[in-house]
Amino acid sequence: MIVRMWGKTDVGRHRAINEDCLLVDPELGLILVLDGMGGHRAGEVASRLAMETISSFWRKHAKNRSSAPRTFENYDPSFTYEANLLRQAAYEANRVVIEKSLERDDYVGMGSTVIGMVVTDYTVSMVNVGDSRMYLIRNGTIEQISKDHTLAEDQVERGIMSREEANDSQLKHILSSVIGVDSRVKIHVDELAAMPGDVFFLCTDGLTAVMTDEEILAEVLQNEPGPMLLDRFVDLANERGGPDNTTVAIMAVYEDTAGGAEHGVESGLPEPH
Amino acid sequence: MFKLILKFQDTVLEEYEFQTTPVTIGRRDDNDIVIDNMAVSGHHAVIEEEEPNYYVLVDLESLNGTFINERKITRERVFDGDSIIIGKHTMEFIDLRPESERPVREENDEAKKKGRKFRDTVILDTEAQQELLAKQAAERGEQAEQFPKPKKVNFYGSITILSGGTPEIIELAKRVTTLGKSGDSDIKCSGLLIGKTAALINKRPTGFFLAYAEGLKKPEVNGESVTTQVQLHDGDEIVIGGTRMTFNMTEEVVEPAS
Repeated sequence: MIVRMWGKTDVGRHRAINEDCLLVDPELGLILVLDGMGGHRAGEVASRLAMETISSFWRKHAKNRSSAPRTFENYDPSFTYEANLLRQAAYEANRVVIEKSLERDDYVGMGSTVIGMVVTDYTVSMVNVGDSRMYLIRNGTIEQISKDHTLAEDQVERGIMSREEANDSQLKHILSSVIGVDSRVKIHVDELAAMPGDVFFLCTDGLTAVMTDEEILAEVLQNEPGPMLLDRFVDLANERGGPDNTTVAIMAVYEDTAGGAEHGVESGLPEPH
Repeated sequence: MFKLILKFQDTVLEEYEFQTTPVTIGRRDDNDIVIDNMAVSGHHAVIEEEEPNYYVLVDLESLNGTFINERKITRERVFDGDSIIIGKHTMEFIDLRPESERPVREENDEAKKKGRKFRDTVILDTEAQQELLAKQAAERGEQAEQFPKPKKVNFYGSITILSGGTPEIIELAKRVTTLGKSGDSDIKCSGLLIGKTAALINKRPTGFFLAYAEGLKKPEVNGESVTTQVQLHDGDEIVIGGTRMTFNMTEEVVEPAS
């Protein structure tokens, strides 16, 4: 199995600054997509700080289990070590951003969403906080793997609102969990067996605000995964008004035609941001 | 340098002084502070240091939890005068460093948060969230019953090795269970042409799926060779190389809490 990964982030048409953050690291098999929020430039600070905290935590512990943090918050044995590590990294980021937000008045209340995804052997582990999304496109269908931490989604789960109502509700813009605000942050974790042909698609709400799941699926099915496809998504978001920053990332899984059981990673360079 | 005063129902049991960290607290004898009470976990909590000059209390996933000033914590800075609760015991935390060297708790944390503003996407803290949800629910009144709450189904799967391996029943408790020749596999299989990781069983919200991973010999489910993935059903027979096994599954429908 070989995976290739690409990412792109764009400021959009209406914002002066890009508060999204993106990391695509083929060496580590790690992708992070974050959407910062908060006044002035605080959103930018929050998403960047969360990204740096998670990636450095991952670098430090992923390859060296003996250096693993002695105390995991809620280590869950039904997930791999990698998934638990990614979740712990998100807890760390939460702590670091909260502390930073207390340093300056303009940082108060800043926060960030995060989607973190790692691929190890045949397993894809993911965590998410907030409303940035991860999809799996497999056998011509699209499935949302991330969980939206929004009040609208909470209402659906409680049976107070129908799925259709939730899609139109203002409550879908209110996040119920976010990195950097509350020490009791909710982190969603999931794990999947990856197969050749799979496309994992990650994005911020700059894209999902203007595109439906079916439209995303159609684009992925009609185009080869790669930098061109990412350009196309960003162009589409901008054509439809580009209300927000847009970040998209793709990981595509291929059969290793060399026949070996080796696991390889390749990548296009992410756009500088 | 700090002191802990261990109390049980206001009776002082012991005073401890520490120069260095970590300081471990628990029921077992190998802890720095041993509390012999069934409400205390074997290794219950630990006090560590954090840059630049903080002491931090960490709960080690104890059964009954660790509390600072009556608030349950997982990992939290602890300050002079704080009261720590472990099981039925309390401990007063006294920072013995000179006053100029000890940190103080930022009390305006909550107050500061209340003043924040956002342009579009909004974040709510937990209290505000609960209030809003309760208000929404009340406004909807009986209407709320119109929408069936999504039912949650728990799936429990297991693999029974029939031949070509140690006969045993393996619960599929993990999200991703690996099957293959590798010593690291969750379920060991034998056979010349099968992969180190021959297949994976993935637990998804809709059930269990078996996916082919690697190896010249592909896994078989009910006699059919699997080249991508198949959903598993109760009673399915799986063959990987020389290892034969059956898959069993039970479903439990969990009624959502009202």
